Amino acid sequence: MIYSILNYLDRKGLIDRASAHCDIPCGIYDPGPALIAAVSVVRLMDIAHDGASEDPVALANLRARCTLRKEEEAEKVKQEIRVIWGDYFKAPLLEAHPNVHGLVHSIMQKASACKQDVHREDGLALVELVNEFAEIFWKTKSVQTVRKTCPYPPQLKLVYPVLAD
Amino acid sequence: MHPMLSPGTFALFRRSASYRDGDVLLVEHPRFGRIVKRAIDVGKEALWLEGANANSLSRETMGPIEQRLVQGKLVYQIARKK
Repeated sequence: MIYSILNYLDRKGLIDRASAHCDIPCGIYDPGPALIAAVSVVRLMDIAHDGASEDPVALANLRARCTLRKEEEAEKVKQEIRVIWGDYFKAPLLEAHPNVHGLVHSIMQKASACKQDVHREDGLALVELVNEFAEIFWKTKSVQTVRKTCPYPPQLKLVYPVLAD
Repeated sequence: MHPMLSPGTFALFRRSASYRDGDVLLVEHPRFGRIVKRAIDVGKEALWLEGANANSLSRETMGPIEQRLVQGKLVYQIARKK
């Protein structure tokens, strides 16, 4: 009851806020960048396989660029997920979602597989793993999610938060 | 300050003429803004801060805090029901 009253006053902007967060002044966590990076890995694999250019030098150049960027995007997936897992997930959240450790480990392994080779199925599996991670993340914030096809190639189903206002 | 203070907790702070080691303080930090941390090594003119969590910013990172930057000490808290 008292909390509800205070919460109402807080929403009216009548209570000053202070941060007791451990990673001052950030506190901003979102799996979105990891998802975009994972989709980019698949897209770069597709472009590398496409090989539309008939000029062998141009094709080699294109594939070199794709390989380099794929490496960077896969590493970005790992970095983004590591930060959320290591900094955002505290003991109570880990107890509520005990599969997070295994899921994060799977993401690390799959992202490395994507760096090592150009198997599209690895890229798709990486996107799915990060999707699962995103669903758990938003669940910890009591935010509903929906899977929608991203409006750009490779047009895969991604997890988006359903935000109020 | 987890697990001592969880997100969304309402906290009441009271100004005091002096503070002691272990007091949980509301501080207007010149670099990190309005923060809540525990006082350690309280001196006449300055004190140091630490978090309640192993991942917290170190006391060296937060630096010595002048007494005038302390807004009050925690006297009551109401946490969100789980």
